[in-house]
Order: sequence, then structure tokens, then C-alpha cells
Amino acid sequence: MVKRVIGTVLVMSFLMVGCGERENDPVEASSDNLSLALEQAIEYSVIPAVEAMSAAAMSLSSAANTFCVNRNNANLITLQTRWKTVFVRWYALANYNFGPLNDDIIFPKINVIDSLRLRGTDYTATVRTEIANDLLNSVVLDVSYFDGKTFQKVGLLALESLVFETVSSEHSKTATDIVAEFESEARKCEMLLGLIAHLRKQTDYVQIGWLSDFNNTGVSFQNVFVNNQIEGGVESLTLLITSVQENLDYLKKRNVVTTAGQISSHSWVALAAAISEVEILLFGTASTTVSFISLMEVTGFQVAIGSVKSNIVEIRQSIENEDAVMLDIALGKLDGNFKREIPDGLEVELGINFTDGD
Amino acid sequence: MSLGRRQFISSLLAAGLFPALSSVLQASEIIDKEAWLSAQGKDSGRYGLGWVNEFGVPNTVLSGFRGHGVVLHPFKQSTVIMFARRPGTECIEVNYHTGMVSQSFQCAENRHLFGHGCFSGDGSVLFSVESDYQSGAGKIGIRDSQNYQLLGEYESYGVGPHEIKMMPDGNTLVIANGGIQTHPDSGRKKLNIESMQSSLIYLDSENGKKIAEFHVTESKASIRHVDVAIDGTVAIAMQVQRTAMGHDRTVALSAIQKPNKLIELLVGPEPLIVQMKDYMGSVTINNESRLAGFTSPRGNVVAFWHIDELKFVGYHAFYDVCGIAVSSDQKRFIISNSSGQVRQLDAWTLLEVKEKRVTLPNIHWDNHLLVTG
Repeated sequence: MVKRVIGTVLVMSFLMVGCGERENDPVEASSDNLSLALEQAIEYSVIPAVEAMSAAAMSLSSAANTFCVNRNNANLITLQTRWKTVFVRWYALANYNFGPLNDDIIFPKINVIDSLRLRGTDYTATVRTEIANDLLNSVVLDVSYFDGKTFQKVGLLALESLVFETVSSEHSKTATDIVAEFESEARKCEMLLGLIAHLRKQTDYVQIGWLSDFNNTGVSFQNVFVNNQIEGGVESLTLLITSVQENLDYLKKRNVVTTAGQISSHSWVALAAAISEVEILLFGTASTTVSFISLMEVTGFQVAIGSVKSNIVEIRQSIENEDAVMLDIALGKLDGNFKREIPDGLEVELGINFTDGD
Repeated sequence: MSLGRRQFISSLLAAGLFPALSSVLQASEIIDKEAWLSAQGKDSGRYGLGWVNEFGVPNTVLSGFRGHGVVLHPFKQSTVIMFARRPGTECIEVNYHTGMVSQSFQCAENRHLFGHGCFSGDGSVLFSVESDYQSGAGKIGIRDSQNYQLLGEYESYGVGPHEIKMMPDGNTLVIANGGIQTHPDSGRKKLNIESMQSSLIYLDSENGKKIAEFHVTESKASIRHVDVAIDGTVAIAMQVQRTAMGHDRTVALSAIQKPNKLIELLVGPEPLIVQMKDYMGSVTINNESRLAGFTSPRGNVVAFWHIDELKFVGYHAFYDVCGIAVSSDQKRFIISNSSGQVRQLDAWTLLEVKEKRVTLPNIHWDNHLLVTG
């Protein structure tokens, strides 16, 4: 079942890429076209990823409301499916860890949504304990209560535990057991709705920031980004390339297929979504007229492009085979492409190399 | 065929935009009659010393090696020494008014530099941190400050001495022994990561005798950079060798040592410390606000702690930031990055003085910034 879903995601992504710019479209190497490629990457890749995440969170909220009114197995399955969609959308969006998703170094939204991101710590035990405590105590489960929780106790992992397993010590994953517990513990639905509302607050913030009002400036981050006016002094393209590279490094270093989405058994599908998003970003969509790869092509970086393509194929194969060892190697190679070949091909300044220490 | 961005930037220089920039700097009093100097350059053909002088005129001089730290000569007007980063062996003396390299010197045989040095209290001697790369022992080179003739050397009482500063008494040297051994034959490869032991050493500059030795608990935290306040408080910036550690826990990257006390690690928000990716590149103390600024180019951030209260007080996000210095009037922190950008922050509020932002085209500021004037 898992493999079939992954296959669907991969085929869809291939089709999207395949429908991108036509091979004979003339693309000229110029600064203007590089700006256009960046603009289109935001419009056709980043913004859709932001909107998809937000829509998925809204859809999860709707399913939770339905489930809490009518707690049965069918509604639980729908709820679980919606959570999986949010999780998959999140892995696509997390490639773009800048702007509204990370505009506060100390309290970045990315950690609130996905606690594993901070330093790879698995907080499953923490959320299980927190949920059990919240069931037992009598604290009012209102907005301020969830707002006051630390990042380890909210977000996708807390929701995953609530939706895919029971609180009881066995942590049963059987639908009937989970539904029965929601029936017997009225506060569980309050927690579910409260945690989803908290998640939606984060996704709404990210969406509003990208589309209309970034950090209370009245200007969208899309505007800031496209006009290369990022406050931290970094060029937009550098930020984009670095962000994707750091996400690939994270996926590899934190071995997410064995640490994330473990209760729902959905990590491989999420990883496939992350890679599909990278591919869409580089190669474009059906609406793209100038992609990053097309610019690299006309500037003579065919070997680099070949390397990127073959590394993506390797990642796909390791996902299909659910081979964590091969995945680790292939992710490392694509990570390397984002450190060397792609910045070289796009003339991206990555700054002075301080990595070997001085 | 090219996308044309690099050529465009290079053409700014060819088109004489440095003079135009100079008038902007003067007109807006961005530099406040002080000079900013730093090692700069991104590739071997362009390594050198870069600066903006008191009159707002930017300039560079090629060095032929990648520089690191820069110190002001105590007697020679408008003159600085730039040290090669490890495992380089050369230093140059530059007069930043004439724009000329006035002298240069090499390490002794079997020695290499680590990029830092300082002058003695009376200014007669230049101390430089070096390595005897045959034995791996850290050394302090002692040279005449006029002609840089080697007068002798002291032990650094550790491996890989990285930064050295003179204490306010004008006699005691404080040395950050990073603990990491390198050898020119293997470039910048770290040869002793498993057994590394970093230390902070206080040394009598008159005779080279060790006065005191301190360590931090985490043996893989390499003490690299230090700054000294007028009361003798030492701020310490570290770099953690994560690959040699058996755990993935967050480790403090900064510390303070008050006179006659033990080293105290500085605690900061975990996401900030994680973002720094185990690397702080430079540190400076503001004696008026009593704040110390620590830069992390890997984390694209500079973070500040109060050196008496030991409290985290704030941060400023800035891409690839590494250079940090205090303005000559002590009112601002000045920070630089590899894109040639310079920003200034109020020394108390840490708010950026945005009208003082400047970007120098084709300049890539390296690790450390020196402000004089």
C-alpha cells in the first residue's frame, strides 16, 4: 500500500516535470532570465507548496470536526488520511525554510510544526506523556493553553500520536481502539481540535506572510524575495539554494525515514514528496517558461544536470525499495549538487567557506 | 556564455564606482572618521587586505595568501599587520594611507601561523601564535616590532594556539589553544581530533612562564577566539568538533572568564545555538555597554551576551557574518560579511543603524574586522 502511494506521488511529479517547458523553447542566458526563473520558482513551486500545506491543514480541521461529531471508524480513517496529506505537504514545503517559516531564530515556525527539525530529537515519548496528562487533569483546553505549550508538545507529532494510536500504555493502532478511546475520553476531541487549531495558526501565518503581510510589514514575502530585499543581507537565490541544500542535509543526517512519521508509517511517502518538490523547483512546472535547469543547460552545465538527474533517480529507486542505506548515499549526492554544481551553474555566491574552522 | 552577474559586479570596479562609493561614505558619515580593515578575498588570486580609511576611501592590497587577523601597529601611523591563516607562514605590514605593503616576514623553519598576534604592552615586541609542526607543540613567536626579526619564542602550553591577546596589565598574555594539530603537508586537515584538548593559558610575556591554565568541560569544544575587557574579563568563542563527539547534544559555544574565576559557559536559546552549527568565528567586547558579540557565519547570526550578568541579550541575523568590532567611540558594534556588507548596531539596544549600511562591491570580508581611529 505504501509503495503504491509512493509510486503515485512519483509518477505525478514526473508528469508535472514532463509538462514543463518545451525542449525547443529558446532560453537565453541573462540576468533577466535568471530573475525570471527565480520569480517563476516562487510562483509555481514555493507559493503552491505554501497554499497546499495551508489547504491540507484546513482539510484536517474539517475532518476532525466531522469525526468529533460522529466518532466512528470511517471518520477516523478519513481523519488519518487527512493527517497524512498534511505530513506529505509539509515535507514538500519544508524545503523552503526561510521567510515566514523561519523569521524568528528563537521561535521559528518550522520547529513548532515539526519538532524533529531542531536537532533530530524524537519527542514521541514527550507528546505521549503530555497527552496522557492532559486527559487526566482538568485544565481548560483553550487557545491560550495550546499557545503556551513548548514546541515539543504540539505540531504534527502530537497530532500523529492522537490520531494514530491510543493513549493507553499499549498505544494500540487499531481503529476500533482509537475510536473507543475518543468516545470514552471527551477531552481527547478537545485536544485534537485545539492542536489542529494551533497548527493552523502556524500554517496561516506562513501563508499570510508569503502572500500579503510578512512580519507585520504590510508587504508580502513574495514581494520581498522577488525584489531581492531580504533583511539578512543574503541574495534571494542564494537563500533558496541554501535552504534546499540544508533540507537535503537534514533528511540525510536525521535519517527521517526511521525517525519521522513512525506512528503513521508514512515517512517514505513524505520523503518522496520532498524530493518531488526539489525536482519541480529545478525543472519547473507546466507553467514555467524559464527554469533553473534550462539556464544551466544553455550555459554549458550538461554534466552537472546529468548528475542532478541521476541522483534524483537514485533517490527514487531507494524510496521505491525502502532502502535507507542507499537513500542516505543518494541524498548525500544530491546535497552535494546543491553545494557545488547548481550554485556554479547559476553563479550563486555561497559566501566564504568557513566550514573547516578558523 | 555566462549569466553575467559576476562580470557585472567586476565591472563596478572597472567603472570607477569605488570613488563614487567613497563620496557616499563621506557624505553620510557612515564611517565616523574611523578605518575598517579586514583580510578579504574569495580566491587565491585575490586574497589580500581590504579597508575603508578614515576619509571613506575603500582600497585593497593583494597579499598572495589568505589572511586572517589584523592588528594595529602601536607606533607606526596608519599601519597594520595581517597574519596568514593556518597553515600559512607569512605576514605583511601595510600602511593603509599609502596603500603599500611596507614589510613582510615569514615564520621560522618548521613553524606555521594560525592567523593571530598581538603587541607587547610597551609595543616593542610582536607576539604571533604558531605551531612547531614537527612536534605539534604550540609556540608564541617573539619579534622586534620595528623590523620583525625573530627574537625567540615561548611555549603556548598547548596545541594549536589560535588567538592571543594582551591583558590590561600590559604584561600577561591570554592564549586560546584550540587543541587541534595541523601540518602543512596535509593542509588544513585536523590530525588529532580524537585526543584534542583545548585550553586557555595565561602567560607572563616577560619570561614565557605559565601563570594559569583553564579548560572547558567539553573536550571537543575548541577555544578559538578571545577578547579582553578593560577589567580583565575574557570573552571566549568556541568551535565544536562534532564529528569526534559521541553525542548530538547542544554544546555551549561561548564563555566568560572573570579575573581569578573559573570559565563560565554562556547559555542561550537552544534554537539559536543549534543554528550556529557548532561554530563561532569571532568575538568582541564593548567596554561601555558591557556586551560581548559573537559571530557565527555558519548560522548567519551575531549573538550578544552581557559579560557581567552572563545573560543572553539579543541577536542580529546577517548572512555569512564573521567580522565584528566595536566603533572607536564605543557606541556601536560593527559587523562585516563575505558579501562586502558592513552593518552597525547600537551597542546598547542592538538595533541596527540602518542608514549606516554599506556594501563594498567585489570585497569579501574574511573572519575578522579591525576598527581604528
